[in-house]
Amino acid sequence: MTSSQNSPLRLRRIEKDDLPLHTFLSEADECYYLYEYTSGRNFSHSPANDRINNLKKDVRYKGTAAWGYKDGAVLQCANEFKQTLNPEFLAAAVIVPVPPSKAKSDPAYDDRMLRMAQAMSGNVRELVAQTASRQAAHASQPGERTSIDELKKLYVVDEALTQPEPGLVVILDDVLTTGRHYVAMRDILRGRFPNARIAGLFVARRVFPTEGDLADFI
Amino acid sequence: MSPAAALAATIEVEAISPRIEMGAYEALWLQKETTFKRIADRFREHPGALPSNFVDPATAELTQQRAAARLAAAGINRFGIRIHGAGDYPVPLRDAKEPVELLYYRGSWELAFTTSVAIVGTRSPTAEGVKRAERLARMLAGAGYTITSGLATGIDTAAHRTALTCNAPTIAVIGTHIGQVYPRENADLQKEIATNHLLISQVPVLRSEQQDYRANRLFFPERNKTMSALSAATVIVEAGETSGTLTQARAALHQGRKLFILDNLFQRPDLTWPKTFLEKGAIRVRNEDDILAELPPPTKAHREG
Repeated sequence: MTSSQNSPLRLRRIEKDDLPLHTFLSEADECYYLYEYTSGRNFSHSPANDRINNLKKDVRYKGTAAWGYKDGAVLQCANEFKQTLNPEFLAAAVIVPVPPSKAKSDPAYDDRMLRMAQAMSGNVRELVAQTASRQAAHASQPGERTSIDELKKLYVVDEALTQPEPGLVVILDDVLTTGRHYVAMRDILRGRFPNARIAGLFVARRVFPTEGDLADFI
Repeated sequence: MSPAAALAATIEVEAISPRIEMGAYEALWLQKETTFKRIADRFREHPGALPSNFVDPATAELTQQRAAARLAAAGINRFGIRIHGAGDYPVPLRDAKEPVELLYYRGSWELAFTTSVAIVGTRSPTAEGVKRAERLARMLAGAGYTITSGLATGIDTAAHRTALTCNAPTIAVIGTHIGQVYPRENADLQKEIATNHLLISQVPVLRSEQQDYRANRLFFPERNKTMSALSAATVIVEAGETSGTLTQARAALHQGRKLFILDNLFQRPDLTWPKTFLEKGAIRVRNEDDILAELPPPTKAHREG
């Protein structure tokens, strides 16, 4: 194909029409995303789905060719965030990656979000740490996922990293699904930094192709 | 509040609001004498612009609500939009002479990124024409291609229905707005495609509801240009001298897409267009299997997790 021109890329904001798909978010939440990730279809080869599948590659592939795709996807996302974010906003932001489902001591610990954050900003703080491993959301069945209250019990603010007090906190995650992790992080951080502006930044938001699929999930 | 927090609170992210872009696009179309060509010219003059750059936010917001209300009245509460300037917009659409800045869809957007072949032709085909369309669709679907067409009666319907029979993906690019059903006899087919496949429309909702059917007819050839740009190739099964299908033939060649014309059309004494397009670079198909050799490989579909 003779595609002469690359399409520009801009972030989209989650707005009220999107909230039925992200049930834990409210209109007051400030969340941004680059792509839409389609769930529940046999075809998973759109650029967005490819990217997410690569990002989520299990750590057991470390050292294989598949891992290279994961590293590539981490860097691509970081570059796209750098290109699309207002430089002033990025400079003012403390980037806080959502902790992975497995604790650092766990062999399945996956630091993809930390690496993405570090590749996009010099101002990254792992302000929220997780005290124990949990089941990865994308590997669990509906109904088995950790609730917001359970997540809040697992999350602790790392007091060693709280100074200087941040004015703008950006919570970074790969896929926005119902918004559980974001809301748990937001509440923990708001409790500790009541004056800070808190925003969410996602590689993709999850969408469903049809209303029937939607009904199965919420 | 600390000085750092006060400053941070004022910095804009500079992100797109899809609903404001939809409202702005609809509002642009409500301006007098708007055409796809004029919109395309305007965006060419302002590279990187968005519909919202030309419409004030209050008008965009209000117009979005009106358009969404019209769609809701038509029973469409969930639909998606794609914007040139945000993620998930397929780059090949920019090959069109007047590329769409915004479009509406229902169904699985991922299909827009599969390798597709458009099978198009007349609304009043011969029995043999319908059989050819079915045979081609079966062959291409079997080889792993998505079948794209325009949901019209005749050849288009045969192409979509055969794809469904083969359990293959199909995309309908329609010339009416995303909440309209046309033609009436394809209501079930349109619903099936919107639910389990992909239905695309670039037609502005409010404008098309305000003007009469004669003005709206102009949207049909526009969608052929988009259909061609989205497809790796176009196959013309059967078409008369004045068929709207020929818009797609011209667009395909202009966009650098392969254009296949079935051999029997060259043998009809009443048609001059096959020869004209052959001279401009179309491919005469003597053996239908030859099409496969000329196509880029199909996207490999794989199951999720």
